[in-house]
Amino acid sequence: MTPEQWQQIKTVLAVALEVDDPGRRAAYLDEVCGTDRWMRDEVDRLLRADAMAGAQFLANSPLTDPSARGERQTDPLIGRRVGGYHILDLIGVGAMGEVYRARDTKLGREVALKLLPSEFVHDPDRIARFGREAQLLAALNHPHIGAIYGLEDNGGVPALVLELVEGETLADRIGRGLTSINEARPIARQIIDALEAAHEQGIIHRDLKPANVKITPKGNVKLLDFGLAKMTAEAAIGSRHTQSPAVAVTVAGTRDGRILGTAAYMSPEQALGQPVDARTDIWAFGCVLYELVTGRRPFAGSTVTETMAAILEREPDWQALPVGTPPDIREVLQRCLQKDVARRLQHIGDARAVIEEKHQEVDGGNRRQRQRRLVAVPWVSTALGGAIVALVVASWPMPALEPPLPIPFATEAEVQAMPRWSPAGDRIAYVAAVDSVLQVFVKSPGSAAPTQITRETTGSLNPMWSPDGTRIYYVTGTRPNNRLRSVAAAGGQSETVLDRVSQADVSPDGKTLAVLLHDAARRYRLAFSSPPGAAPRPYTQPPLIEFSNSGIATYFRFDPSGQFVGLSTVRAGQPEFWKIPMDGGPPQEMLRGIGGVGGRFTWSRHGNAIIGDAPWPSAADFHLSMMDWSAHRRRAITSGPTRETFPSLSPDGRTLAYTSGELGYDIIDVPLNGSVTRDLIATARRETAPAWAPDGLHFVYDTDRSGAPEIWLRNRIDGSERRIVDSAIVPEATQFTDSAISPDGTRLAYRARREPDWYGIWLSPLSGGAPVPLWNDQTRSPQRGPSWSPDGTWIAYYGIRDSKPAVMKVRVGANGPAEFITTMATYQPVRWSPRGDWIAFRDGQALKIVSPDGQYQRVISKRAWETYGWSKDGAALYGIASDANRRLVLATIDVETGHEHQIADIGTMPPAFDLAENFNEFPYRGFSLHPDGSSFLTSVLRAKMQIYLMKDFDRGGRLADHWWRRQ
Amino acid sequence: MSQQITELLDRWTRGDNAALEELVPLVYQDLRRVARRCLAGQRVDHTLQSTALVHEAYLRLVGRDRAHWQNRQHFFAVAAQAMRHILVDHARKHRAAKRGGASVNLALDDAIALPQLRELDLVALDEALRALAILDQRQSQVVELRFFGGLSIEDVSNVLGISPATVKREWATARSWLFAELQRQTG
Repeated sequence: MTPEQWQQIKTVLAVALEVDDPGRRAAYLDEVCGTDRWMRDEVDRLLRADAMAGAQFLANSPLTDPSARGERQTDPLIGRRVGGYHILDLIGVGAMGEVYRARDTKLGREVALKLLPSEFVHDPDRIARFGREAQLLAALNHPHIGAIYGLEDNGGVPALVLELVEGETLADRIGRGLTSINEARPIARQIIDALEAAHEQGIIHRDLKPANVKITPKGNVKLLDFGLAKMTAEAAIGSRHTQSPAVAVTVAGTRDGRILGTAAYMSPEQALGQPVDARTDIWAFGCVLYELVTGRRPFAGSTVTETMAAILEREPDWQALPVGTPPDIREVLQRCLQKDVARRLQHIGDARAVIEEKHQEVDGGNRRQRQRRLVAVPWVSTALGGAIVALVVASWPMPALEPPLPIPFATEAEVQAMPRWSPAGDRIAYVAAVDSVLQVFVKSPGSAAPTQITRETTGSLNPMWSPDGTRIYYVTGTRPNNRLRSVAAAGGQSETVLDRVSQADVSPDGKTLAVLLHDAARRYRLAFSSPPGAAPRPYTQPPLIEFSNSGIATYFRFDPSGQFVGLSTVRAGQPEFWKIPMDGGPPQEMLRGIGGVGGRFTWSRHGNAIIGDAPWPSAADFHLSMMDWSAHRRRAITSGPTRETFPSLSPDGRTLAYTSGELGYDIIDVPLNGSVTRDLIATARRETAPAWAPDGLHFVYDTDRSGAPEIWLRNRIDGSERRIVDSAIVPEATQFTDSAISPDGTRLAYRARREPDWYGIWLSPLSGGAPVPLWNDQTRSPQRGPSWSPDGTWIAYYGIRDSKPAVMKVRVGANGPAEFITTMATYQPVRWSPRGDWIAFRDGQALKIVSPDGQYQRVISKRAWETYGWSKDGAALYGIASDANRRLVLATIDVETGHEHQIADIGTMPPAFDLAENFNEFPYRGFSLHPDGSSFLTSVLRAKMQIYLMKDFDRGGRLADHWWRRQ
Repeated sequence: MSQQITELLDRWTRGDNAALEELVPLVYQDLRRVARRCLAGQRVDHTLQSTALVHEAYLRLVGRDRAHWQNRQHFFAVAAQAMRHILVDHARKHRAAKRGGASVNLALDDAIALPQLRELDLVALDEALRALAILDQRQSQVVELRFFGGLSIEDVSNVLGISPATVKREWATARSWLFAELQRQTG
């Protein structure tokens, strides 16, 4: 390449890089490159490189300041206690203090703890200011002002206990892009309410800025950080004036360069060091509103001096207001940003009056105008073989849009899930429970009547369409005998297409089926059957040859072009997303990540992104998000308290169908004599793995009801409870389960899942107190499901040995290493017998017992036992098994004779059980025999799921297309 | 802090030698941060200690003709060049000593990580940057200032006297070119 050629290519490349949409990009390249094949290939090559490089390539300069977060990772306060508060993490650093997330161990809630920065702990002035902030806040009790709970003494230094307001700051919100007037209005109104309440108490905030305003996910605004606030003298002696905080601002500034952020919102009188009153907050409010509407500060400069000069001398750029800014907003802005205090808006309440009155007028008259800004950037290039190319780039931000509301699609039954759009976009196939069995249904959006099209005796899952819309394929049958079947979309006789298939997808031309096959040893392989039904050809390109135990987490879909299969899976504990070319080329790994990358996904219309249900940004966020690797970004689509899964995008790319709902566990007590089982705890949340204490009165269980993982000890008679374990005690824990109390009743063993994705067993005293890990395995090999030996000296658990699930044991208190007992087909609970002679475990479809030394082993049942455990005398096993007719039965096995006896039929398998494998859950969790030997506790999976549609889910992207077309 | 550096540089270039004494610890602090960051990704047994790196960087910086340090931008342009040399030299020595050793750990987005680029080979980047300089001297300078110097788009635009929009375009296209070049080098 010559320098001249590079100049040409660079010009075209720069434009192409600005265009996200692959179609538009290709059209542009067709136009400018024409028949110049070489140039086109070079640009394409560089575009591909850009996509692979990702946003992070060269993004972190070695000279850039490390982020505050990076610097603070080793903050010594984290994990410590201050009074009754356990410090969890640092959430903000301000000039006036450092704010930590902390847990109130008495009340069990999270709070924000504001501490003086360590360098000021001996500064009496700072300490006094802290006390003043506490008093001011105590005087303010308002829904839009962050509340104070108390003042704690931290070794002579005060610590403020504040309401923890979840959500982003207004500064974050502004940083994400322009807000629409409709979004800005309620935010402004709530800030006005908060300021008015403060001013009525004679309190001036003096440091109002976007970073001090928080917006909760529900849109509630909270004004924070009254660290600079001052009680006006008026409240005491009748004058409105008080001294300027200019000195304090300077202190703030020298500390870490934050002064620019603060200086930009200073009123002229503050900048001059003159006395200030409530009207200084009105000025700051004007600055905030201006920034909210335009995305930039009204007075900006590269230094504090320049910023102050702008505040004192310059008018804000009124041209920067979006064209459609309503007159009422303009008026409020102009009146708030009057440099002359006397001419400024005098009372913040007046701003509300203006906004509200005018707003009603506008609403009553013309429809409000949508603000639009289109910045024309004509790019004229003469280097391209004489051709003159003019390009107009639409510049964001566009009107920011509130997320579209979900529309109920199928919500009548207890469980309906796995929606899939028909190729024509006129119908949706999904599964819903009929008499506890999931069947395939078809329904058109906008029509009330669904049609049931399958009549299977076992749950039908993952329906998908043939390209002409006449047939539906689905998977049915119980593990490991799942089959792929098909049926006419109008209903009728089903036929089996392929055996031993647990996942499948049809290519867009209908000529090929991608299937996940499994063999008797439960090894999963990707294979292709072409034409559909022909003997599948296994996929042989490494490393995607075998999925073994993670087969259940493997999900795949043909892309809209049919040239690739996208595959999301978990290998070696790491979630990955691959693109498999159908032309036989090597698979390409597109995404990998700690938080999960694909999950169950659907392709975007152009195949440049996927929408998936893998948890993000944290392991507890079970929502849909869009991963776009051409633009290197991930964006949340849904949020809220429910869990969204199984997205399917309509063929026009506009409407997203998905499953929403809870997959919860309830705790039940199962009498061994076959009488009716009883619900002990039945909530919408997840309560699992109950275990009796030896007193037969208390039991422990884990729950996520507070939003964080916890283990509680409950008195069965009076229902009183005490928390034993929470995520403050085991840091970074995102889940607890598999509780087991030691035979002497003093200790609790349980499994904790800690980020990033490690399962370890911990021991906590039942009396409360610090936990210890069962043993520190340096290899971080997972440990699950502890079971105590009857003398309490050993714990057996299920872990991994040579990358296979295995029964392990370790001496309690010896800090390992664990001893291997035997292997097992999949992760299943292990149960040490009360006699100490056997450990029971499930190995694939067989229930086995093994001696603790691993020497003797035998199969004692070939039924599918869903949960199992020992009788009081250790001579028999009890549990719940499923039979071929989807009935659940309570049964027992005599260990000596192997004789099985069915005690009672306990009903039809609930539809949630069909979904269990898809969610990587056991239908039952836990088995704990009551000390009197008459019943056992367990927890059972129950689901409540509906299907929703979200129209225009990607409105921003669509508007971009639309604008583009207009040019 | 950068504000402070600018003021000190101003005073110093006006002939106030006391300013240099105040300047040194600030620069030192900056470079130490650099060193920490650069070496964070390396194994414990790395041969070049971070303090050694700082000393080396510092000596190189004060060894320059101070008259050229007109302002903060210029200062960082010099620092960028020095950092590039220090880091690349270090990486090269390390690579010679132990094949495939030194690299800067890139903080990858937790959510979306492209596995093939977990680590950046600085020696290879330096070579690619030399190749780019042959095609476009100014563009390679943009990368040096942005990546090794940590300068913002605006700062680069000031140093090189070109518009921020041009800097952005140069940066974006250089990134693509360099990535393709690195891939070509590593096969």
